Amino acid sequence: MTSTETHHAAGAASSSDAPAIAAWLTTADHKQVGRLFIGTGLFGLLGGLVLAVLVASERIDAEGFQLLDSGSATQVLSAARLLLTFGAVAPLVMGLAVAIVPLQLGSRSIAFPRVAASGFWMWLTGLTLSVVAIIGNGGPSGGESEMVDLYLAASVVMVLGLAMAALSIAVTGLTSRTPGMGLLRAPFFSWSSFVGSIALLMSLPVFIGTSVYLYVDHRYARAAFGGNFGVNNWVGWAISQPFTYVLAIPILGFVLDAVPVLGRTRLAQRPAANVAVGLVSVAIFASLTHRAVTLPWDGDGFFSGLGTKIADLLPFGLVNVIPLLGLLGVLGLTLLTLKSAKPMLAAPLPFAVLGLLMILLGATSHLLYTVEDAALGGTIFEAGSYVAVTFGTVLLAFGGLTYWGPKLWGRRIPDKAALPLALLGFVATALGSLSYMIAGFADQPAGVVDGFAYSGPQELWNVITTGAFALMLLVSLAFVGLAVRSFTAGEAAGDDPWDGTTLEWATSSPPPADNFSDLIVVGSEYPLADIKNSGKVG
Amino acid sequence: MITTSSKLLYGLGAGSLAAGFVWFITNEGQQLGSVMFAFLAVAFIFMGAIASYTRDGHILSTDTSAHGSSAAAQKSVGRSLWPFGTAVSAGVTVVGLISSPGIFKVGVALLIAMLAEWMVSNWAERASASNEYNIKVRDYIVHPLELPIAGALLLSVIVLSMSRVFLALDKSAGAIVFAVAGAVILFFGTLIALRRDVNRRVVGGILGVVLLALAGTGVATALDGEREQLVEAAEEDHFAHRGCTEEKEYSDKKASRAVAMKSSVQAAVILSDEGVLYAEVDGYETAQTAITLQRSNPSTILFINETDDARRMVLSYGKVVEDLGGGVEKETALEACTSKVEKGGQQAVTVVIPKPSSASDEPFTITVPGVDGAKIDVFVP
Amino acid sequence: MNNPRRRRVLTLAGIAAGLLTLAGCAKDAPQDTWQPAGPNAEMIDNLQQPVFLVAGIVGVIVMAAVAWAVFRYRDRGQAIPEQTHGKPAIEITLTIIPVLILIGVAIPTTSTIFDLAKTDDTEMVINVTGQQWWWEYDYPAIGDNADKYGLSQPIVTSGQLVIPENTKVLLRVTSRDVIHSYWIPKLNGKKDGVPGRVHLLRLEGSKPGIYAGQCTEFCGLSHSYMRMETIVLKRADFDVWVANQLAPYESPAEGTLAKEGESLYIQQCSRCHQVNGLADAEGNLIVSAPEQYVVSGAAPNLTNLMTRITFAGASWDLLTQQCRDDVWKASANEFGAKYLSGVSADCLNQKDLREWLRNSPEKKPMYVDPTKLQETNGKYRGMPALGLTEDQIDALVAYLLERK
Repeated sequence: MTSTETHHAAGAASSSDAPAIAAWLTTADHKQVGRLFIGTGLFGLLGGLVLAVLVASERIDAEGFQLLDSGSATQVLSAARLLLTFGAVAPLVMGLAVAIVPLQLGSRSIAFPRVAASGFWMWLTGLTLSVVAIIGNGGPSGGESEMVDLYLAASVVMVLGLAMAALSIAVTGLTSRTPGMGLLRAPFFSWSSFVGSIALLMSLPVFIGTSVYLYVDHRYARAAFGGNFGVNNWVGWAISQPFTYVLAIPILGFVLDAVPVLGRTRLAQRPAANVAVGLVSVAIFASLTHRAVTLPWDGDGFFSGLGTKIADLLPFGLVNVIPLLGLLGVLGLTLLTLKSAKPMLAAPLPFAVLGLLMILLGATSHLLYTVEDAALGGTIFEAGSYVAVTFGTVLLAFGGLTYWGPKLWGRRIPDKAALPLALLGFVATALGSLSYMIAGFADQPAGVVDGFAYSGPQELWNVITTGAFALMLLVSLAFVGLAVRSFTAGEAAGDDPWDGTTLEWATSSPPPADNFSDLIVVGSEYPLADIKNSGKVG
Repeated sequence: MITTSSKLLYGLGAGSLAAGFVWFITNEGQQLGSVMFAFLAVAFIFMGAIASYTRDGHILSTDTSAHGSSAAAQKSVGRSLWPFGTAVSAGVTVVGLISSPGIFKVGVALLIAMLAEWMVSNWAERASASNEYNIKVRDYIVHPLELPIAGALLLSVIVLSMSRVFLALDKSAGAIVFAVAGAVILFFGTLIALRRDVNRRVVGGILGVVLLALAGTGVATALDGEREQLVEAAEEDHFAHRGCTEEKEYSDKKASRAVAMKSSVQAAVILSDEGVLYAEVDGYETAQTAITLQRSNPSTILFINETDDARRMVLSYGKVVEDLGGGVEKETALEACTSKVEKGGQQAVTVVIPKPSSASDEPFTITVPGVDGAKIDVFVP
Repeated sequence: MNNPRRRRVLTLAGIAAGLLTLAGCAKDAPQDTWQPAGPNAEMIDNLQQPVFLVAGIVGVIVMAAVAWAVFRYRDRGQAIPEQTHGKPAIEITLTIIPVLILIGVAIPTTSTIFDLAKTDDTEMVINVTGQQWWWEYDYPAIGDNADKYGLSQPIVTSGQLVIPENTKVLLRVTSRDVIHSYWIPKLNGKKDGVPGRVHLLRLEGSKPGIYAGQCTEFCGLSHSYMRMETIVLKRADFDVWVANQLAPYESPAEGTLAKEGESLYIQQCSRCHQVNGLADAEGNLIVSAPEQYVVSGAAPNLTNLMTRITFAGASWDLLTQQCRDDVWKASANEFGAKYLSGVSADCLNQKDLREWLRNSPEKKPMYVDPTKLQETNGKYRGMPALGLTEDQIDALVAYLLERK
């Protein structure tokens, strides 16, 4: 219904005279790079979840039967987080950003398209080698010295690849907007991708630098950084809160973009949304200081030792509270929008709302975790927060795929099948994280899979978590199945299946090689709505 | 001008500064964090300044003249193998880092090559509006490097594979195999050449298959090892049978290293066809039965055998006695030998004699085992 | 020409040219190829005098022609003359004349080269081995050396090569480490000593005396300190010299300072420096092992050090200035006796010898810093400082003084 002269023949983007494999290897088309990120990210997700289920099941019987020996537990734990954070969340989020941001901005191309493409291959090479290293008894606390070296060096390549993709996205956001589109008029997914990419560009090099130090130290001296057992002390922040929020920043824009469209309304307080997303990026401060900022809150009475308390409160507030405020802002604006909404029954909506809730659960619980009086340090409570944030981000990414998937491959993911997945995923996330949190309150230690005992039904909590992880694995499998089926057999989406207001819906699905045959000059935050209203589109 | 993105960046910069201060106050003795925040602030403010300077890269909807040149209006670049190649090279480099310096060097070389190709192709793509011309420009720059290197790589694959096959096959079998292979190539080459309108792809395909087969055979034979004779000769050091012990069958009896080594020798020791051993020494007009070699000086002696039997020259220069402790001593005779030299053959031996002959109980001599009375005295002053 | 600065430069250039010319008139020039003292050098001299004459005449003619052309056709604002291309007559003439001159020079040059390379009438063979930074001479005790010159044993010496008068001596020149070049300008041309190769050089002195030379192929740090001298003795004097070189070792008398010096020598010096016949307390002959300490694997043989009147690559005199002049300026008849008297206690140049023993690398730059010897597996190039006390030096000097 909104066909314009921007149309090319469907599928023109990927067809060329190059053979299929060569086409994938040599592509500089941001949509294809995005698809590559997303596809491999889904694989990484399944792998990470399998490992997560394995680790969780090990915790059920803390004394008896063990699949893993105690030495490899740390490695499997690290591998699970590596795969979930850098093998799933990061590529899913970055892939969506690479694919969608230029479309939203009305740009014909991403900035530095080859850097973005190389970023993908770098990330994939590094991730593959990292996994190989862990399998070869490397990785954090690994026993095979060369494989630990390989892990450290490969993780540098992996993160370098992500940084390259982030660079492309950040520069695209800053320079490649269509005429008339100030940054405040940019869609929120673009804004949040821009903010998230800047945050990644500021924090990933720290990871790279630290890993290089670790590599040199581990290979030659093992004097300064604690060798293989020190790896997680130094770069563990990259797989913990609050850095996990940084990876979630871009996908927050999906919530802010999709909820108003699917709710057939407009977002209240746009600038406030911009600010809220910006606030979350303060989370990088905690990552860069290499240590968790906690709140000791010493002293008996409230007024005794007030100076110390303020001194404790300031960094705590800066690092842990501000990002949470940002997340709360996003949630508040979403709820505010939904109040006036007449929502359509579409799968992205529950994914968006439930996923966001889960991230908030994780962030809030992490705040609690960092208050020392709660006495949660060193307990598995932290894993609960991690699961909530990470699975929440995955749910948002699923939502993003159901929302923008039609744009990427021209067919819809059926709502009826996807809606239950959103609910099941939410249940899995909530159960998995909450039971770890409860176990944390009961002092189940983090980082180990056996040899602990505490009062309470410790087997129950771990059984629930295992079940929840298994459920999440099933949900993910089902989602991947749905997505794959929709590539070929789904209902054709049309160019604008959601009656959108932003420019990605103004071109064909899937878009042609150069996205738009003519620049679309915009005059408001809702350019496609303007076009529709002016009747220029017919 | 405070633009939207510079607001974000300045804000984060200010936040970093604030965090630095807070850190400084609350973590006495740990100023490193403050330094980190200060650098973070500098980075944010710098990026903010760029955003301010470029005004967020914003192009006004009314500024229609700028629309065509805006970044958003630029078409995407074409396909390129180099980004993928760069990533693979990075992987090879990382693998080399932990496995072997050779692979690491290959990785770094690949990385440099890929980045250079990437740069040149990016440059060439912007050379003009004509794609054809751009490709030509790129080829002008890169072909002088690319083609020789590619050619050298291809040749080295062929040469290495062939040589592996040669080294693995029996001497005579190798000759037959390659004569036949040459004939077959010539035959099919002629057939193809005689045909008109041969499909390039077919020829290319055949060549590719042959190359693959050759490389495969090369790898297979390399893994299998060299032929038995060569393995044995290698144990004999290929050149000289230094041990002065019984020779293996396959040592190289004609080897005597470089021509330069034989061009100016301290002495040429000749076993005449009558079995008389004598030395020819530069500076002496007549045949000598004694020679002088400088102490500690690498001296080359050439042995020439004119008899019908294969003979070997042995230079004996005393012995060393090692005290093994407990009254046990081990004697090692100091000898330098050629391998057995057949009639008309010659072989050089270089020897460094550290001690003067006067310090030895036994005289230093050159002899030929199996020829009675064949002896030359060697003096080392 | 009115520019004062230009005038000053011209004046200085003139003075420099004049001084350079005057330098050619040096009277006491021991390394002067224009003063041949043997048939080989005379052959070279006989060739180079006429060649120099011819070249000089040609040079003067060419320079004069150039000067005339420069002056005659200097730029006076005249019109550029007609430009022509080629004058075959002049070109052919100016090609033929040099060809003829060169042929004229080539004939005697070639014949001289062949004459110098003649070896079939050799009367004595001596091996000459260069190493950083001194020359070793060994006289093989085979062939004519043994039969006609009484060399029952080989003689090894260094720095000063002693040869009999009017004898066709053939040097077999080689090297133990890098390329060196042997050159006694008054006796013959130069010949490179190349590791692994033997090059032949004929020496013949027709008048007793000392003929100085120095290494003429850059060979490292102390190349300039790598000198050599050839001593020509009358045949009778040469026989005395040989007999003395072959005389058995005499240990210093018990209780003397020299005897102390001997035991010190055995401890400190005999690792590298051979003294033939020197034995330890049990009567075992001591064989030096320079191959373990020195890159070249050799150190000068000191058996008859005090028969030579120089040391350390012939760079320093063992004689005081007065005694040295006495030997150097002796007449041909007296020279042999004076040289053979060697170094007496009164004539010993204590200063240089003691400085050498105290800290040799300071006197002659050598690679002996232990921290920088990785490349040579810890081996020296040259002689290290031994850290001897003054008393030890006294004893060593006393011992060395008896090595005659």
